[in-house]
Amino acid sequence: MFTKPMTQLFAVVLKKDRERVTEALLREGVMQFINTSELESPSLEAAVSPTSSPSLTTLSDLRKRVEEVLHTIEVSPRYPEEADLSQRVDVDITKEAQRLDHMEQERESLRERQRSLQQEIVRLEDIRRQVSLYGVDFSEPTSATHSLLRIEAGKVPASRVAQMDEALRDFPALRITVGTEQDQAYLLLLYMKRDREAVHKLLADQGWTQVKLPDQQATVKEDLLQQLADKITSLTDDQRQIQDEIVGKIRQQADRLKTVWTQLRLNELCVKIQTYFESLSRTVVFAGWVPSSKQTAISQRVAGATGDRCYLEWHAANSEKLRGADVPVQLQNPRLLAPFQMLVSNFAIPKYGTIDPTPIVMVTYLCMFGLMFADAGQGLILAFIGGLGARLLSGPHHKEKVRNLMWLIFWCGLASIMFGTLFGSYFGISLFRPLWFDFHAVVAGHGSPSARINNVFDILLITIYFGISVIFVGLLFNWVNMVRQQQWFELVFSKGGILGGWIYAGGIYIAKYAVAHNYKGFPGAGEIFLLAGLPALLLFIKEPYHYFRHEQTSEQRGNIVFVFLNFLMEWTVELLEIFSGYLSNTLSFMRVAGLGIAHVSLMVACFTIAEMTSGVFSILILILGNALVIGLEGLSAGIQALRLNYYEFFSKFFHGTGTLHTPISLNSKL
Amino acid sequence: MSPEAFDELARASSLESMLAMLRDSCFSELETTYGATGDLKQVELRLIEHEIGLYRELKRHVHPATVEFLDALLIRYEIDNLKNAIRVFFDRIVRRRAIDPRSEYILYQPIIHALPIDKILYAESFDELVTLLAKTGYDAVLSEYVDQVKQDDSLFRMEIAFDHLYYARLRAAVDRLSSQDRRIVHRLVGAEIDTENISWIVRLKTFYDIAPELLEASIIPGGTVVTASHAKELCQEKTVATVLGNIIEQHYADYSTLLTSQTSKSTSGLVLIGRILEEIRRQEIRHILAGDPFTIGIILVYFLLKRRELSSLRRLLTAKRYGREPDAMESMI
Repeated sequence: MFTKPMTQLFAVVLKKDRERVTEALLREGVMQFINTSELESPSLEAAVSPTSSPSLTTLSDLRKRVEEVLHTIEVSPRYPEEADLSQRVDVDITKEAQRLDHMEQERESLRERQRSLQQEIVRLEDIRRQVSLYGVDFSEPTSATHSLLRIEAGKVPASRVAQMDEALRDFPALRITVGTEQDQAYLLLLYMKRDREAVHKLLADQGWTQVKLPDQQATVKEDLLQQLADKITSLTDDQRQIQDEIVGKIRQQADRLKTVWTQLRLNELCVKIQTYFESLSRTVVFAGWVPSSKQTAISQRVAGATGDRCYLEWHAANSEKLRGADVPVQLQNPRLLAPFQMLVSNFAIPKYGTIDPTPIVMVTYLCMFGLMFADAGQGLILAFIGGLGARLLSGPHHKEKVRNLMWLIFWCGLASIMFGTLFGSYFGISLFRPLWFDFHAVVAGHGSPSARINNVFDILLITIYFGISVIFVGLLFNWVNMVRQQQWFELVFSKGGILGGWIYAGGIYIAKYAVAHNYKGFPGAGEIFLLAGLPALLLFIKEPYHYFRHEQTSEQRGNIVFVFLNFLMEWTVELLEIFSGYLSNTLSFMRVAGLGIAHVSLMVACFTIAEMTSGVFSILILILGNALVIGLEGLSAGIQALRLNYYEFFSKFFHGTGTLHTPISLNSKL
Repeated sequence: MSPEAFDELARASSLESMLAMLRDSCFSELETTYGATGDLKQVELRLIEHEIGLYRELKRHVHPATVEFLDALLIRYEIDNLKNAIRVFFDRIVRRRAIDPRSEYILYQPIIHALPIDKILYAESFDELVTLLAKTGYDAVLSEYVDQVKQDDSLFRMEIAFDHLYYARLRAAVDRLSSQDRRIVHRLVGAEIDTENISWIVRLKTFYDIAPELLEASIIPGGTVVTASHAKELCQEKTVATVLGNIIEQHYADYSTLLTSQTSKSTSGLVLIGRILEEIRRQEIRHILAGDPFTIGIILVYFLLKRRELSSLRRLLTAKRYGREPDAMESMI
């Protein structure tokens, strides 16, 4: 219910035990370190900076580099475990960096081959586009046609074909072998007209003899296109093989890289911890926060690592001997409540020592959601979606927040099922008798007159009572927080203090009395004075108290008339704030009923539209209607429930000034 | 993509890692393309296609009255593509240099008009080019500047005219919008033109010894603050930073204090002015995003931001390919 008690450790160990202590602290993974250089301690004046080789940056850069290489083949290294710590070794940074350089060079040379093939593909595509668009020119070289390409048939000695291909490499040209006869290769050559002179010269060098082209030009064009397509496909396959080769080469190294990554990460974590160490001539000093429940474990670990050659000083969070900044906050909730803890920490982290409202948020949030989205059938679908999503996103590479969101949807689904059963709603149909009252019937105006809840005003009243309960729980939490922090004056005189609560309770009684008497009667003057007047008058003490406590000298105090007017003004404003604030907070809960009624109305509308049709259309409308209601109303209900918790509930007690406890552990994100 | 994501990309150890980081973004196809071809040029072409694809996708969903405006925005890509094709033609025919079209970023698919890019690349004369571009509006620019191009042995004037044509068409499309949309778009397009003009002025005046009338002619009309008179002033002034500083002081007084120590002709001064202009443009964008969500401003802002994002990404990829240091790359974002 409260944030986890924390204890501060101030420790001195021998320099020679430094590595073992580091590993022991990492193994336990519960300590949030304090930068000892910032501590005001005369004993640390002679401190010298620790020398750690290699540096954190070097380790971190290399680890990221390895990680990135693995990421290119979609491999994620696993986070190190305690067992890995026992096998921690120093990584040869230079050697590993060289290995990575070598891998990258190798990859780059393969990419270069791939690029050459790509150039060839682009060249062939260029030709293919030209052939498709304009055909090929079969006429004599001198004749002008619209085509940009020329085709020629000829023969060269078979032994010179490869040489000819090499010479043609710089031109957008295509050579196709038609056949071979007595050491002579019969070829078709396709090239750009603009390169005619250069190509002819080149062909002459290779012993090219022109032969007559076939008469059926259309067939030649089709053949050419086919040949081009085949060649492009073949080149693309070659490129794919190179890509496979690149991936294969990294995969071959993957296991080694994963091991290196683990070692680098362990070393990085150790060096990170050691950056918080202050080295003196023979000793090392460090300090940090640990949960009180882990005090013994840490003591044993450090003592074990040093052979009892250590000095440990433990300070409770309220001790005057504390060093450093504020006490960090660790929330202690079962894993089941993780989605609701996410809702709380999204708002803010509660101040250390105050109430962590997570368990109550679970109840209030789900009740609000259930009241707004009360349908067992639709709830079942929500629960299914949430459960499935959480299961699919259960891997370590998925974000925890998304997973928690899925669990939240699951819980919301369960709440809908529960409230749907209470109100007898199953996909908008009353399949079974409601356990509480028929929400649909009441909204549709068919409620039984003999029932306790028979119109929408009764539903509104339920949510107002619910709101009053939530606000009182908030006030109660505030009082508990004040007592724990020994803020006695605020406990009584603040807006959310006892006097504020007294006025609120009195206001509720007066309002209930007026309603019970058909708005024609109020409690007696004495009663009203006791219920609201007296606490209001007592609140007047607040400002003078502050004034006379803090403004000591007569110069600071100023003119007494103005001071009194100021008290009066402050008191009036505070009273207005209390009255209007509590009234609006309470009425705000009517939105719960509003959304519940809207939910039912939408379903009624769906059924009315479905009744206008028949058969498949009718079923389709009902399915789409339900889907729309689940999407739209589900989102609205989720948001409104969150809003009510944040602004009407949390505002009564929540001091979101805490900072989350972030220990360095094997799972830490660096 | 957030600035943090760009920073992370800049710190990637290799081009391959950078592309792998994009795997879970809308740019995941870039890794696939590079993996299949090993060619960064193909990756960059994909990015251009991706950008054009966004316009096309949006065109299917907007009101018909807005389609014309989107087409006007798309013309920029068509003009850039056409300029690249004409450069290849020009090098081949006029300069007698065999430039391989594959060395340029040329798209063959139609963007707005079905331009015969293949024929443009291998045309034999300017007259043939004019014929090929008939009825697109680009033929008029070509006809007008053919003699100038031949005389200068440079496409510079013609390319400026193409840029002017893009903005003229954009402004014409803006004029046909509703009065509310027109007011919003005018502001933003004006800021865009200012940024473009200042970028040109800085480049031409600082890095090239360019004739004053040419500098004046290169100013795109329609800017909010930079006018032809500023161009004249710039031609006479010795330092670009001073004149641009004056413009900023005159129109954006809030930023003038930043310039007090940066009025000399120095790269840092120009860089600062560039950043101020970028900030001004950003403010215009924020102003629109905070306004009425049912105006064309939102669409325009989306594309401007998207264009910046893609341009930053292209620069980062190229810089990584050539092994630039992460710190140097951060200034490109």
